Amino acid sequence: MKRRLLASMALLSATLGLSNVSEASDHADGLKTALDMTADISDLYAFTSPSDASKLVLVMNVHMLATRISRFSDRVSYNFRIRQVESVRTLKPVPGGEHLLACTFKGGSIFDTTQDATCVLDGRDTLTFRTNDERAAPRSGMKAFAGLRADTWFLSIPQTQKVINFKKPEPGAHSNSLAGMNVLSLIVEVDSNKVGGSLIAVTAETVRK
Amino acid sequence: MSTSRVLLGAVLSLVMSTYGCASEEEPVEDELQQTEDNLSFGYKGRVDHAGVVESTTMMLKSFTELDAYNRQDPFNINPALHAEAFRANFIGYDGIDGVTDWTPANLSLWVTRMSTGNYLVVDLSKSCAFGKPSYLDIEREQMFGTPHTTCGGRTPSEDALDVTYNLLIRGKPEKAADIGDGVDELHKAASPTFPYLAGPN
Repeated sequence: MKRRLLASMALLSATLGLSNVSEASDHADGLKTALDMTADISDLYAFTSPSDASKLVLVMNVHMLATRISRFSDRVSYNFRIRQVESVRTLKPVPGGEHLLACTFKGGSIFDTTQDATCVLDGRDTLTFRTNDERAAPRSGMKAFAGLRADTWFLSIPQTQKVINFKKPEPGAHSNSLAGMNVLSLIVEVDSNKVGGSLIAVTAETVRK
Repeated sequence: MSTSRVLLGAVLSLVMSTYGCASEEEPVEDELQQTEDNLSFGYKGRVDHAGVVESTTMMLKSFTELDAYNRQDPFNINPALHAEAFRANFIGYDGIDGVTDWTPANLSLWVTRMSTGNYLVVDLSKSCAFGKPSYLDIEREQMFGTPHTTCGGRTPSEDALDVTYNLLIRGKPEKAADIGDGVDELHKAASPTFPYLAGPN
């Protein structure tokens, strides 16, 4: 609770322009995202599944101050976008043939946060599931989970503030400033062969409808 | 934007942190939906994007540029808007240890990368060692010619901030013992099995 209060105060400071926004990954990175937290992406992860290398795992975390009654916005499209990469030499995403995995949510209330979620890949393959269900059935080569999770970002904010101010961080162990915080996570496994060749570029975006 | 409007937004943001988002089913939900509309000031379009860790909060960090950066297509960012801020910050970070580590070529490479796009690069032909170093492994090959051995991308549990510190201060995207924030692991460990992320606190 204390950490949440401190984080809230930091967010207030950020929104009031009293500090240089959050120093955490992508949390509250700007006035608009600090206010519009259901659309504020805090982290993106992309990796091949440890148990099945033919699956690509995509994770988008939003809402850095999520609680047990927080929900995804029903007015935001949570998108993963994937492009082929030209070569290791340039690492440039190739514009043509982009893949879009768009996820939307509806329903839920402060009394029952369960929402109906829909993820659509390239406008064709559709997966529907309920939030907070770790055993939601896979479909169309996709499996997904969406709901409250522990924040996966860990850092010492005081040390990061030093670096941001172009000062060397202090050596030794420091405490995780985000311990105890939660986020809303959207986690989707998709068949890798549906999103292209070997080298890909992945980004996440939130688009308010 | 007036101070009163910013204050209103800040207070409403805390309300949102408690109540989440909107639905159309109950009167109280309509009020919350209205709150969400107020917070977004009626804005429609891209709110945020994410790819490289600390792309905005450390690498760009110019408060006046952050919203403009976030609104752009993460695969097609206008370099004219942010390249100078990225360059100035990279040079500033490089000077932290008193040594100029960034080569002009790699500095130019990263200024171009971050001012034109925000994305992770993943090699689907390689397995990801969950929780082991892989973040920016492919970029390391691009910068130094050392072949990448992992899938790149980013896995939960990996200490991507220390990698970022070393990229910025030493010009090398790798974790090192003497440059870091002193926090090396998650409060609640991630799992190598679906859904990977630990349950809530």
